[in-house]
Amino acid sequence: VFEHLDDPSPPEATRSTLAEVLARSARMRRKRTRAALGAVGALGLAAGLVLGLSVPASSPGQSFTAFETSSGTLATGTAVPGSDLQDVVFPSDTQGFALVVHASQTLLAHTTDAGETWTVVDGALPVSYPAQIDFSDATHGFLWGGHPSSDGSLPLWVSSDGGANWTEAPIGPVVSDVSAIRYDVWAVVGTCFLGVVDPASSCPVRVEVSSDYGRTWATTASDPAVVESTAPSFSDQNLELARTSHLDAYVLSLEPGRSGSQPSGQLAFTADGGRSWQSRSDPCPPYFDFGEQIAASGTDDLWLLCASQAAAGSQAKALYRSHDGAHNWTLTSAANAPVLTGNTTVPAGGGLPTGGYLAPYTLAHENFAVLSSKTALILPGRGAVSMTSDGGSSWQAVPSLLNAGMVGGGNGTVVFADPTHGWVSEFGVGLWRTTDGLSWHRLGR
Amino acid sequence: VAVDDDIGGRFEERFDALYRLAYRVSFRVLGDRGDAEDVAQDALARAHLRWDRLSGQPEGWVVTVATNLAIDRHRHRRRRPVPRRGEALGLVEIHLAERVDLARALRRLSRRQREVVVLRYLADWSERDVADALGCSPGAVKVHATRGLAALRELLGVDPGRGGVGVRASG
Repeated sequence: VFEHLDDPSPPEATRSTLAEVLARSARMRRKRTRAALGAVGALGLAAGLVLGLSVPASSPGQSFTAFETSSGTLATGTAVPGSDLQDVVFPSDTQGFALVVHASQTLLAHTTDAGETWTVVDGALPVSYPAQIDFSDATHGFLWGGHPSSDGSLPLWVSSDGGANWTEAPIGPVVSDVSAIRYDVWAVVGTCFLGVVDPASSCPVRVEVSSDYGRTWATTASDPAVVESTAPSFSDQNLELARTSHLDAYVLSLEPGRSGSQPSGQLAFTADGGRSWQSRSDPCPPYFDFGEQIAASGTDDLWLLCASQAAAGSQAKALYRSHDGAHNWTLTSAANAPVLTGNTTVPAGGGLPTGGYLAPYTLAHENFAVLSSKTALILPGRGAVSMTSDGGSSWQAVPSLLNAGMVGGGNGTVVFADPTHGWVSEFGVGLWRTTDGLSWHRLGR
Repeated sequence: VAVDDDIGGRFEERFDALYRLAYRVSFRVLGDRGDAEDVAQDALARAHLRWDRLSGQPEGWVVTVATNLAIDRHRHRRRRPVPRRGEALGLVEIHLAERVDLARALRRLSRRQREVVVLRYLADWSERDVADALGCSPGAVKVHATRGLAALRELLGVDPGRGGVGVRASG
């Protein structure tokens, strides 16, 4: 009816368009949060005046004028609000890095004061969000993921100057996950270009190792016996690498949407730095074909989260634990009536938080932190932070985070530099820190 | 559970299609590429904020919001765009008066009529798709579409027998 009013050559939705939309979304969320906090503050002020209490003045913060008004590439040193951090890593208890979407750019921000203030290190990274970062220390960084290149590759970028400059590593074609233990860096790599081969087929996986912070690389003597799906993806999130020492590592591969009676995931383990790999069983029943996340507090202590596709606003989840290096698994907690197979039963009360979504909705966010064999935190996408202190059987919301202004319901990150120093970021809302692993306080703005 | 039944898939993966949709309806109302891009981005940013609440069908919400934003943008335009010297008159200018009238007329429809007319005729959806998106029957869509179209004709001052600006009912 109105075809004659169409644009004869409509513009394409590019990476920068998506980045701009995400940045706008963050600004809207920040504005809403400020309005809500302002209303609470006004009520507090009124109550204080009535009761004759002293109301502390807000502390003078950084100026974010350049960040909020500029639409171009931001200069190095420009202040970045802590509420706009997309993905946060802390290689030490004071040094941290974060990805930030600004206008049409994905930039890298840095903090040297444990997250209180952030400034731009690189205003235009060679990848676009959703990407992933890791840092061995304040100098050596790794950047990967985001949108595949036109040829279907996803390269790894390496920095040796604190993120100011990036060099493409000579590995590929699809770098799916990276783990750095100081100089010792591993990357799990898909061997087929994304979207080029039949999506129904699968590709072998190999592991590349660098002993010099990512400058030179060598393939491990043998490959883990897992394959990956080659369906086109914004950011290849179906391979995960979990390392517990220089020699011990797990590779988890997931084929989302795979139907059948077999689990969608495949797990491989090495105890000799990749010279040999052993297959391990994936405990997640076939129903959980949407996402799996693995974390460990030690070589033998593994935590595996399984997620189903989400329907009607809820997602079935299950947590399995292994105390013997993935030989045997125990269903520890669950949520939203998962469909389990075999003789496993859902623990009484479920245990896992029902709200929020686990991978891949938590794309490019670090949201599962295992601190010990008893203690862990999760931050599901669109959910709130929950913590367990009994090895995963029961999970509770963290009151001090909510009291300190965390909203929940968005996307965020929970990361720890060590068992007591941790950070939670909530995109569009803010950043919080703990120095004892229990109580949280808000940082900056 | 089928993929289509999930909470809408990843925002990033649905982004391209939704952006094209939002841009299309925005451009039909506004006729300006920059404005239409801005409105489409705004609509998508709002969708991102409430992605988990848009169920498995964010398209209807995005079309409705993009249209409302476009109509609002139209209302706040201080003056009609004037081609700069040497700039050729393009499709945008040819249909300018029609777009102005369309935006005004849409603004004056009842909310339900506007939703149906926008999805049915601005986004070119079938009656069944509109019914699914709005949670009503195809019969109700047909009634709202007919009444909305009649109101649109009246507001636009179009003689139904001549078709006018191309607003005509079709199956």
